[in-house]
Amino acid sequence: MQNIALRPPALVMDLNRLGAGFASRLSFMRTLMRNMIGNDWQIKYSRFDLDNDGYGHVVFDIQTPSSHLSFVVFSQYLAPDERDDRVIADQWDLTMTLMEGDVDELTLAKLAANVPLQEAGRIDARCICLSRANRSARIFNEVLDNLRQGRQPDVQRLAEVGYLYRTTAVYGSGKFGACDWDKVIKQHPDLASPFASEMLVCYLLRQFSIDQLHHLVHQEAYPDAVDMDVDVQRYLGIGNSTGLGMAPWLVNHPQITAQWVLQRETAFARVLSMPATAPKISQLQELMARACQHVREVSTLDAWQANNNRLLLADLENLNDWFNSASTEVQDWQQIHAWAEQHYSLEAQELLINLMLELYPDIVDSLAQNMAIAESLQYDPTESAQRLADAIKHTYDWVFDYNFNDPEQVATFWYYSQNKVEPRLGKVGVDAGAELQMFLGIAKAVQDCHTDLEALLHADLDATVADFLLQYPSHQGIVARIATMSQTTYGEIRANLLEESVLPMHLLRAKLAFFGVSKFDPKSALWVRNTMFQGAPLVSEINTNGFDDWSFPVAPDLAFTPEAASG
Amino acid sequence: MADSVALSANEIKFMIKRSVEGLGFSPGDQLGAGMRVATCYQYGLVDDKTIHNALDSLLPDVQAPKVIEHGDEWVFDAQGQSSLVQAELAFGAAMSHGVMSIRLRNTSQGVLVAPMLMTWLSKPMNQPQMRQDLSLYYVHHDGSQRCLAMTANGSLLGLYEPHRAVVAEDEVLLRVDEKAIDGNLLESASDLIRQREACLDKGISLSATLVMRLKDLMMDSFVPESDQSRASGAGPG
Repeated sequence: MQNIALRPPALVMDLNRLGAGFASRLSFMRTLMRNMIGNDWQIKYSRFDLDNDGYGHVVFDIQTPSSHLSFVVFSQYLAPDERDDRVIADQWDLTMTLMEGDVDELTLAKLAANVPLQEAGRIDARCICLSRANRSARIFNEVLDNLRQGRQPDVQRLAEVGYLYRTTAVYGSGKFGACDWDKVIKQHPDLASPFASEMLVCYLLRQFSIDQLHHLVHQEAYPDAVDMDVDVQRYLGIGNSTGLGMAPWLVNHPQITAQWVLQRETAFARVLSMPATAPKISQLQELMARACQHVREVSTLDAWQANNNRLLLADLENLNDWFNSASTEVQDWQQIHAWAEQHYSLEAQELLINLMLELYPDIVDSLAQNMAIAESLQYDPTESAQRLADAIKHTYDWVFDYNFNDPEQVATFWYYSQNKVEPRLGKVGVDAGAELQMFLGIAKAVQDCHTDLEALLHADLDATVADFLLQYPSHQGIVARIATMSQTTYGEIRANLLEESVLPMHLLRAKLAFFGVSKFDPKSALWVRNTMFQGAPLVSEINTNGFDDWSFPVAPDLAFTPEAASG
Repeated sequence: MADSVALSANEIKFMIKRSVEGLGFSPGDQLGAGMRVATCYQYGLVDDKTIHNALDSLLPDVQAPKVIEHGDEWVFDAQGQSSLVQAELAFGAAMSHGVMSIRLRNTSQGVLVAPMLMTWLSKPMNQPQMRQDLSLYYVHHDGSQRCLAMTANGSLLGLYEPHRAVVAEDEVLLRVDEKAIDGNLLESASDLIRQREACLDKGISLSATLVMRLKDLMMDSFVPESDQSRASGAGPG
């Protein structure tokens, strides 16, 4: 392999580019599935106590190589007018927890008293995650009616939604009494990669949604009832609503963000060094065709996203024509990438990279093991202040592109709402609370720090970082950040989150792409619906028919399934 | 509410961070405070009384310790500030000049600075003289003397009760490369690690009173809801 340089931080960490991300084979859902299949996880129900209306509770028993876990789901009646995806809701169709060990009667009773309350309840350190979900009532009832009458559901209708339930929150990392991440790392190594527990919750929820549906389908009153076609089952994912609460996360965890980006970029550099053979290019074109169909099946009313999708499709079709053109002589992947950079949208460029990663699992997949990192923003008090100033110049040169005397650059502030302790966005001079804003204006803080640092160094060239902080103590937080992030390859997300026109959607999508979600459907600039695990193997397939090639799933054509052909 | 509540370290970090923010401290103070309280609880170095006292003595108008003596031992005045914040600024400043004994006066709950020192030690410092074991002397809330010993890489070596008084009640003292601690070993490194493991297993138990106090303090860092803020500034929330 040639040694190919990584793409530069100025390019990769641009928020607009990060906001054009897609799921890849390094995304956490894909990684989890490979782990479950490769290590032969055993997942079965130890309880399935649902009544004829589908209410009650179930417990999944999960055996991984290192851990014995339980996933407990409570299903309750929810009046249609009480079904609310917003974080202020206090009742849900389903509530659930992932926990270690078995669930005895005492434990079940404690969980039943707390898990349905979500934020208002308490779980303990045996629990790893807490979550809830609401039914997509319209599609659920349609599918149920069809199956009860012995008919398969309308796949095109399913394609518009893509799921029976959608989660509105998945809490981990010590929230509401759950165990800390440190415990997961030490005691549950199979879950010790970023968001593996949260992804497992969503995956098992998807399986429950199918099993609950079948429980409701196969009742005495419906003698002609049939199971959902397996291809359709696989096409069902879990819906997800993600809002502002997730947006500050990437900024508040810069080391993790930089680490995730580094792994993907390392994978891409490895791929660029491989020869672009005819079979690989042919495989890439097949993946492009599938991705195009996937994008065509995305249903969104958001004009911005719909336009992005149109551009993406046009770009991919153009790229396909370019491949097929007699005048195109493909020499290597770098040439293809350069062509895309010159001619296509950010979404097309980033999608193409992910499709190229699909071609080389042998050199890409091992990088998933490097996604986790111990976080600690720290500085060395004995370091020279001059070196800190140098670090700003080398790593944070981009912050000087902003003029913070311009009111537009400081027009937005982020804060926590008192009601649900959730992040919100405000406009300076319009909304109350600017004095309580969250520490997300990194570019401004670095500029301010640099100004004071220059003043100190002007007076004392030999000053240390500690000398600086003793004189300017309010910079301690940003100094720790600069000292830490200047040691990373990719550093910070390059954006001013205080800018008037800031688009939180880019932050949401960047993180969700690393999760591995698909079908981004913005509902405003502040929140997005998407789909998880669509196309993934079912639980019954983990030990029998596990497959990894489920990116960019497309609606099954039931007319051509073996079942339809035979029957 | 029960008499005590089991919390995760992450919850404690968040509650302390927001509480300190609500009192008007800088982002660096907020993050540091959350981390040091959670870590000290995990190692069994503090109890609820320590945290109540640390909160009681927080002074938002005090920005940093002041140096008052520059001899073999550097002495700083914390100006009444709790060691929940800013205390490390004094130690860092003296350490960066190779000072081997540093005393911070007019502070409280000095043990809370320990996690910051452990973090610094976890990577070799630029100043070679500081790549050595540290001993942190402070007064326990029952009035007895304590010495927490740390290795050069930031691990805990043990908790001692010194044979003689080394610090006054409102002082904390850091010694670099002290060859032997003159005192009784109360908790070995393995004892301390065992306590941390137990906290991971069962959570950290705080009194309901302290939890309520932190929740009240946190509120001052949040912005009250309004229909306008919910309509314009919220996602699905």
